[in-house]
Amino acid sequence: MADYVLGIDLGTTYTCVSIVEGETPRVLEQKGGYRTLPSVVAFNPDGSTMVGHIAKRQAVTNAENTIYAAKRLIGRGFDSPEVQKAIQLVPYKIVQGPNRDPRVRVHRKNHPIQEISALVLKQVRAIAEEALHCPVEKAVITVPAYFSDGQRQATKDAGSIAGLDVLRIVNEPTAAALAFGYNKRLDKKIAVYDLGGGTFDISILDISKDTFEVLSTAGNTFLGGEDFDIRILEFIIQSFQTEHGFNLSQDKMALQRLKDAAETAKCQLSGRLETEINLPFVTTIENESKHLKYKLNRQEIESMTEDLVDQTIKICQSALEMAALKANEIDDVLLVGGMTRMPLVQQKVQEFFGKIPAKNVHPDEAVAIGASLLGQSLLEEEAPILLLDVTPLSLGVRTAGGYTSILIPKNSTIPTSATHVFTTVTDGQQSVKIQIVQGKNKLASENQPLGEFTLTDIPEASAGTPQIEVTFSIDSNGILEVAAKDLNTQREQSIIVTAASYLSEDEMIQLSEATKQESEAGDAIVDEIAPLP
Amino acid sequence: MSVVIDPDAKLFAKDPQASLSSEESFVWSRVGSGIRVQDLLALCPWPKEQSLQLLEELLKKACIEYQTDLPPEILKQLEKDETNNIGKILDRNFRTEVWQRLKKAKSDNPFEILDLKVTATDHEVKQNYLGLSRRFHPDRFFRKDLGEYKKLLNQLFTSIQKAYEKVKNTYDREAVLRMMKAKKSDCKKIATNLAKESKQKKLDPELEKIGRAEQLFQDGLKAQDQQNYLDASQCFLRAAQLNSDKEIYQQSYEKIRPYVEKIKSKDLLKKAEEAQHAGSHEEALVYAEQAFRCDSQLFKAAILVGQTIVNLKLDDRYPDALEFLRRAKAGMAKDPNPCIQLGRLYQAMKETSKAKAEWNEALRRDPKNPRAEKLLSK
Repeated sequence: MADYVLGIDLGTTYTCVSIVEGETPRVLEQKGGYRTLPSVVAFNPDGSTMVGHIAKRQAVTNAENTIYAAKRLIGRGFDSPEVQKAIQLVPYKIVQGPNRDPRVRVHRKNHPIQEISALVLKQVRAIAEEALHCPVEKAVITVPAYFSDGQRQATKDAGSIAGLDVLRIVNEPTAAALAFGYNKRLDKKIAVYDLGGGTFDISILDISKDTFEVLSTAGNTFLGGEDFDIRILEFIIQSFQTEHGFNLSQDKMALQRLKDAAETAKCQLSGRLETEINLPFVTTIENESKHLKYKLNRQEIESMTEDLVDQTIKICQSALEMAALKANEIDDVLLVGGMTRMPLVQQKVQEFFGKIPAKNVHPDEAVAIGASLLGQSLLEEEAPILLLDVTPLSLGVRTAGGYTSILIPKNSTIPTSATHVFTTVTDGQQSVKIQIVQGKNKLASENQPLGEFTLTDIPEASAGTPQIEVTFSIDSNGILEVAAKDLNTQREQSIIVTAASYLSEDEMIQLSEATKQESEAGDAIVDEIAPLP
Repeated sequence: MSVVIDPDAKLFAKDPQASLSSEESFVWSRVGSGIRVQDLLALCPWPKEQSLQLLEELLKKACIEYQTDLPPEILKQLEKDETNNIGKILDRNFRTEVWQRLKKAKSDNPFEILDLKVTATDHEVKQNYLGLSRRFHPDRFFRKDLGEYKKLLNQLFTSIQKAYEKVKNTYDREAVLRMMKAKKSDCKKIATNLAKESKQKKLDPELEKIGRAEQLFQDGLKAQDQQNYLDASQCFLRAAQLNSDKEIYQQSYEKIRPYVEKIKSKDLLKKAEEAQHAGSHEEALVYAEQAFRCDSQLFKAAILVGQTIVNLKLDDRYPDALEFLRRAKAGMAKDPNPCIQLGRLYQAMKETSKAKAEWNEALRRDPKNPRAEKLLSK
């Protein structure tokens, strides 16, 4: 019996799943013919959940209990600027959890973000099992290349909570490159431009037959299609304010309708030059119903969002510099992510790289296909694919004075490791606390905290005598592991790791049990209704 | 998959367990007690691929082995692993190679680690790097239980990566070669350098101070750009304290001092007004005086000082109050408040005529002011 490995592209706005049959990858369809699933989860008052298309459809009337774009929150600290920004933009409530992590609050219950993503993954698994008529457990899940350690670990946890055996966390641009170059024995340098719903990544790869070597990677984990929608949204709110003197963002339902309309308009303007946003009875001001009707043309939204696209081109420039290549040395450019359908994006990318992007890559499906190919390759005896991926952020420790001492520079090929010898500063000191950070800033406080660990039970000695060698390893998932050895005794040193915003072991077990029970209690999965015209 | 044979590896012959063909015995006899693969291939009359295939057969039949200069404990370990699970996944030659390459890795010579000659081109470097990565990448043994070999493999893979980084392009290769030559011939220089370094270590705290001062200065500039003058002035002051030689720190501090004083005085005035509302006039007086001392243009503070002195009926401070209020009156030409307060002061000093004059002045400044009228009527 074939042992399938799901390749899951867990996106900010849409999720796609694929498997490999023999030698050919195949995207799994749901009832209704959908090939992707909205990454939206809605909660009913009785605790049951809706996931996917059905959740998205009822978002307008149930804005406070419908969670979307959870990927923008996963693995971040509550105090991070991105989470704080998200709190301003979304209609659902985000509160601080016990581990300084963000949680969504619906029906007076707090849910960690890992649980939300796990619910989407559970639905994906159900779709796969139905399409394949057999149980599936193994999966490869993709993340943006620029995701930090905490974000990767949290995604992996979400997979575990959903009952999946996550073989690998792989970078989205690398997966897309895999889909592009698998079995073709190419010898090319390619650039993968991935502009999705919530994140932007650019990776420069060198493909040599069956080896995919990442030369450099860069990105922005808070820049995507959502931000383009927000620009259009702000414009409409502003226009409505000028015309009627009323700020539509105060009306949550109107805001949700507007957001949907903005997204639709944006997509339509990729194919047409002009469109209209028409929302009758959008709100009531002083007991009088108001209607919203605006014409929008392509040039207008291009001028609204041009600076966002320019940001991405700037990041492309720095990625090329890090790879020590010029734009004309790139043989092929791949466009991945729904947002790359926008003519302005395609135009600017073409201008920058000086060539027309490759057309044989499906922007919504390539990542999932690549992930499934990798999954199959990992299980085969002689792994046919060799992936040499890199870590996107420098890893360092905080030294005295608050500076960062870099141990593993960014764009180092993974898996990799580095060692550092620590010692004590006072006589008889029995524990040493070390802070690990990820990022490029010199001051440790400006970088993303990865976690703290404490070397305990250090044998008593005068200051400076103990020699503890700590090995920092980044594994193939891009996740950090720490091991310590006392050089004087050659014995393993005990360490306690407290990560910045992970779930505690108890909570993980609790959540996994809960999801297992839910699926055993007879499918709480709601059937998909026929597709909208 | 064919066995890749390191051309510099040494082979030695063992007693053959199986029968050999004539070609195989020929090759076997040439191996003897130790010969390099390169030299052996040179001795064989057949084309290279055929000779390699014969070698492969002999290796499989365990008639020849890689000569290893590994310590005996590791050789024993290799023997032990033959029988357990690890031996089934990784064959003996592979494990031997891992150990030998790890030994090479310790020498820190990237050319050796990647099996390269010093004249290698970019293309050759890349080929070797990719070939070695393919063989030793952990994904080849995904989820297989390799015991302690997992760590060894990871170490080996990391050393290959780091070596590649060092010799990727021509400039880096030349730099590495220069460093290696320097290491060989300049042992004396290294000794004296070490001596210098240890001396420098004593100066380090001084350098650290200078570095920290510079960092604080940069922070101060950043804060200044964001108009966060309080933080900026603190940074500059500390920088100046740490490194009193650099004049620019002190200059920057002096430059933003007036802004800081303004901010401080505003804060103090706020505190004074709060205190006054709360009823604690002594506190209000203290704060208001401080505020005016910081910023002599802050006339509201002066008015407050005068007001509180009158409220507290501090006779001996009336001349001070007079001074404050006169300045306020001069500074705020259109405001009736200083005049009103001056009037109250004169009233407290029992100089009614002067008081009346002040209130009239207040009325003149602001004809609609109810307070002045009220006071005049008394």
